[in-house]
Order: sequence, then C-alpha cells, then structure tokens
Amino acid sequence: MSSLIAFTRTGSSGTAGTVGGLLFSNLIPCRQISVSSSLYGKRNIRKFFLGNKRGTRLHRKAKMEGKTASWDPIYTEVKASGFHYDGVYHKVPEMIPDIIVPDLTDFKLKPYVSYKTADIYQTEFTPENLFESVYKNKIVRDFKNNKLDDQGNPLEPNEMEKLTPEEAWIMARKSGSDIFSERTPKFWECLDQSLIDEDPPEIAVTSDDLTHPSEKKKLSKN
Amino acid sequence: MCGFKMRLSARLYCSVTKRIGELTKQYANLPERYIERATEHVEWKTPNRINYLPRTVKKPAREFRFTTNRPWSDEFRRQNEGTKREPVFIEPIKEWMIYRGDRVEVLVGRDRGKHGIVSQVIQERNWVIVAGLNTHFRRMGVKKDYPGMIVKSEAPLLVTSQVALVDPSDNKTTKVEWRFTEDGERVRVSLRTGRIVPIPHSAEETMDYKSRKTYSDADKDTPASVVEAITYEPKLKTFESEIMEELGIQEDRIPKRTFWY
Repeated sequence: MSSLIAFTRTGSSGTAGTVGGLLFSNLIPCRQISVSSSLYGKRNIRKFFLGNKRGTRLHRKAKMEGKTASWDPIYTEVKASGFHYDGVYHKVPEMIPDIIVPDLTDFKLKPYVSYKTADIYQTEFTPENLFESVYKNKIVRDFKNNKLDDQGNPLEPNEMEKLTPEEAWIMARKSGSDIFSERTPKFWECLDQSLIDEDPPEIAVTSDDLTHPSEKKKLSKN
Repeated sequence: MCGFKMRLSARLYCSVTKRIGELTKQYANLPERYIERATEHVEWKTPNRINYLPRTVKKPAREFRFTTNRPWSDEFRRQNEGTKREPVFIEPIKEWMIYRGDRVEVLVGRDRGKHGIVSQVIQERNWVIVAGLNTHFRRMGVKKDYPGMIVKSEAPLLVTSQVALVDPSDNKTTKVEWRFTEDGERVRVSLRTGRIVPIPHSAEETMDYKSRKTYSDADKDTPASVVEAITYEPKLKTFESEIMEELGIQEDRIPKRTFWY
C-alpha cells in the first residue's frame, strides 16, 4: 500500500490540504491528501478571465477600463402587445398603441423656428383678462343703455349669462376627463386657503346616489 | 457629480459648462444640454447590472485645461485625456470688453504695434485670436518622403496684457468701460476720448448665421410672420369642451356626482 508522501514548503499555495501528521518547517515530509486536483489541468482555465479577440484592441482596452459609457448602445424596451397562456401567444389589440394624428392640411407651423423671429414676451393670461375679453363689453353696454335691473342682473341675457353654475359644472365634465373630479387637497395645496372650502356647498344627497347598482336591481325586483 | 455634499456656490463650479464662456456658447449656437453631455468626460461608469449601484465618475471640472479647440470637440477630448497637467491660472475678468470683429492692437511679439481684427474669442483662457497677426509656421501632413505643407497659424493673445482695444475715432489704443446711454443701452465708452466704441456686427455671428436678419429660411423653418401671429381667441369654455365642439363630438350623457369621504 503506497502512502502519499508530500513535501510541504512554507509559503506554498493554500490549495493543498493536510491530513494527520505535524507540519514541520522546510522540506519535511508529511502525509497529505491533495484536494486541489480540480484547479490543475485544462478545466482550470475556465476559472480565469482570458478574454476573446472580438473588437479592436483599443475598444477592448476601453471596455476593460469602463470608459465606453459614451458609446454604449441605448437599449429601448419594446413593450409586449399581448400575453402568453398555455404556450400560446394571445395578441391584445388594446395593448398596441393607437397613434392618432390630426389632419395637417393647411397647417403652417413647421418643426423649427426661423432665426429671424423677434423675441416674444407675453404676460400671463389671467382670469381677469378672460373676463375682459369675453364679458366686459356686454355688461358695460348694458349699463350705459340702462338694460340692467335693480340688482344689476341683465334684462337681455345672452347664452353665457343664462348659464347656471350647475349647468356649467355639467358642461365642463361632459368631456369625460377626470381632472375635475372632486378630491381632498394635497398638503402643499392646503397652503393656498382658497382651495379649502370653509363651508362646503350643500349637495342634496338622494337615496339613489347612495345605493349600489346591484342593490338597486334587488329593490326593483322587490 | 462629486461624491460629497457641498455648498451650492461650490457645486455650480463643479460643472464644466459653467466654466465655458458665454461668447463661446453663443457662437456655437448649440443646445445647453448637448454641451453638458459632450463636455462630461466619463472616467468610469458602473455597468448596468443588478449588483451594481449606478455611479459615474467624471473628470472634475478643475482638471480641464481649455484650448483653442471647442470644449465639445474630439480634439479637446484628446488634449484633456492624458496625465494630469499643471493647472493654468486664469485671471478672472469681471466685464468682458473684446468681441469678435473688434479692431485691436498687438502689444507683444514680432507684430507689436500692428492693428488687426479679432477673429476668435476664447473666454475660458482670456484669449483672443487676431487674424493674420502673432503667427508661426507649422507643417501639415509630414511623411517620410514628403516634407509636408507649410501652414501659417495664429497664436492666441491674452486679453489682459497682450492686446489693447483700438478707439475707431482716432485709431489709437484706449481703455474701455461699460456704461449706459440715456436710452438705457449698455455701451463701451473709451476712457481717453469719451466716445462710444460700438460692438461690431461680427459679434452677432454664429455657426448658423452671419446675422439674424440675413438668415434665409430653410425648408423646415417656420417663417417669422407665422410664429409671431397671435391666433388665440379667448372663449368661456374649458379646453376639452372647445376641442369637442371643433371635432363635432356630441355628448348627451350627464356625469354622475362623486363624493369623497
């Protein structure tokens, strides 16, 4: 039976393991089992980075140093247009974006602006400006021609003047846009007192508003 | 940019674009964002992988040495790439006096006493390149069998000490001060004669045009008259209602009132 006899040296690589026996310094035989066979031989090369020859030498050097940020490709994600189920791909038409382009015939604006244009400075268009441009003239005319009654209401109201607040509220919301939906103001909006209703408007809440549609059906059945 | 917290005043000078002169940017006529992106010399950027935090190490602004090449060009990048160079001390000038197209007298070198016209202003280094003056010869395209072509090129001159502005009224050097006229216009006034030294027309020049008025519109340019025309008509309608009317969308459904509790 042959026993493994190995000579240990101080400062050898720590891959060799020792079993039994005492280690003495400098070229003293001791029994050991080599557990480092996996790191010797051809397969060991896998564990080292050798690189390849793709790209130019300068490019590879820059890549190693991490200096390719300026020319790294911009990866754009392509969004899915459906989903996989049971190995079958189902296309969902709603996931494919519909790009609606308006009719641009006789449209004079172009992508760029000529350098010849003078610098344009415009002040903010305030609600006062809107009042002046839309309503001011009519009311001044009515006042001069004595067409206002005792309380200042017009005797010949135009369409805008006949509009009640409720009608205006409905008109604004008919577009279906949800930006007008009532909500509690965010904490930064609370800094502007005008946004917080001191006395909230009295809204007549009917039983119809409070019942869920499913419950309504039950009621109707009953 | 820098990995530690600093005062805003100090942080502003971390950016290279803040050190680029106004006249340089004006002549180039490039978007600010492009200049920022092109002048950030990224030394190391962590790879875009999960186990890395996104960190970029850029060359600090104080290590940049400005040259006669534009700061966003490749030549500038190559000149600033190697080992750290000793910093160049630039005298800070409060009010810039010299513009492109100004008549100027060279005070040093072989061409001292001669007058020339400024062809380029490099504010970052307090430099001015005068056309045809303070020149030297260099060879281009030298090969083993070919001696190369001799090219005459101008060297930059310092605005503070090597060059002096010339008063056009008597063609002599003068010191100049910025003052305001009765109309409120900011002008340069010669301290010796008291006359106004007008800003030359070449100062308005950029890479895209010699002057705004002489620019000829390209195919994709909206003409000035169209841009300046006011087409907004104030109406007592919301944005959505107006669009609905224009597109002929009729909506008869009344939205239900919603409540938040």
